[in-house]
Amino acid sequence: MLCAPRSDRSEIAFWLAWRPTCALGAITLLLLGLPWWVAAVGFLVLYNAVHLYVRYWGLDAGLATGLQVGAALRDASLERWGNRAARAGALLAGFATVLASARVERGSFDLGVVIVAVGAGLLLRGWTRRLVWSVLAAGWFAGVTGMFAAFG
Amino acid sequence: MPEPYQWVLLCLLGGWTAVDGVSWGQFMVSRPFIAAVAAGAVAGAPAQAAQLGLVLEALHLRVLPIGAARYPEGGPAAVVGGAAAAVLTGTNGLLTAAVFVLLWEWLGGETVRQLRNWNTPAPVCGGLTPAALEQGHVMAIALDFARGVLLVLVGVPLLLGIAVSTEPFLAGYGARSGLLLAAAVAAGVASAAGMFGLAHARFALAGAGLGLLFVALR
Repeated sequence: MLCAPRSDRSEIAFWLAWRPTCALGAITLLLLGLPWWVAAVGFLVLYNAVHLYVRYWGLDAGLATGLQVGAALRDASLERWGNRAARAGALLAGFATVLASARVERGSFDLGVVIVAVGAGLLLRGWTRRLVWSVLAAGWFAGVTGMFAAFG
Repeated sequence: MPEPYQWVLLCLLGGWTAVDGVSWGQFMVSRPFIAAVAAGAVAGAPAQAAQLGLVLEALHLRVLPIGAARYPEGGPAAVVGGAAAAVLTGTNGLLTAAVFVLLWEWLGGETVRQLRNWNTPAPVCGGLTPAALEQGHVMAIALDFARGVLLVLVGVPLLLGIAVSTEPFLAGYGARSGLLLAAAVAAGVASAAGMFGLAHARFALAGAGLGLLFVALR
């Protein structure tokens, strides 16, 4: 049986590093204006190449080492590899944030909107999603009820 | 509304994205962007679905399905949005879909939680046989698949009904809808920059610098 610290290594490497890095790669490709299928296929191939390899390696190591699989996981370079993926992810996040902001600006929108959006994302972190949904829903509701027209 | 064969494919896709999240595979077909474009391709509008998928994916970056955490479920909800994208027009339609799908993701997450509670078996007296254990696993995956199908079956007509009925009211506000959606992507991606930790902040700053250079030269 795997104890939590061992499974944590793979969770950190995959869920906190490799998965968001691949997703940010797909987002970056879309923001760069590449066709949707390039981003979709690129994401699936890149993510699953590593995912399937690690699954195969894990099964192989488990069958070969039996109850000593914990030691095999400890000796694996998952942590180092996850760190590299996180660096790439952080780089892509910075790059994509600027591209997404430039996309807002290209629509001749106020720079203030960019600053508020990016600032909210950086400061609110996990709460960003709730705030964004509230703003989108309020905007939609205002449009449907004619509030936009009332305010010109 | 989708044709009968499209309904079948969308339901299968809804079920697949539901089990892909946790129960079986985890090939990341359940990512909002992938699920939305796949559904959009089935419905005949993958490019429009990709625009919606971009917004959903940016806002899903920080969602971590780890442990017993409550989290919104991206897959089946994105299938609903992607399927509706074929009928929705312009940024107003995308705004309606984004608001609905984000809400549907929370509902999907709640169904995951309820299903897990239901799946948790009572302590077995007299031992658990391997066959019974296997049957229990298969049943849990099948129920998860059915849950995804149900979310799509209910979600698509509901979203289409809301989008079509509110479309006339939103006419003329395309620029505002576009602003809201673009700002949502920027906020979502910026929130992801912090998830890699302070140790990697210099890489995020380097990426932002590269981005500024790229935008300036373009």
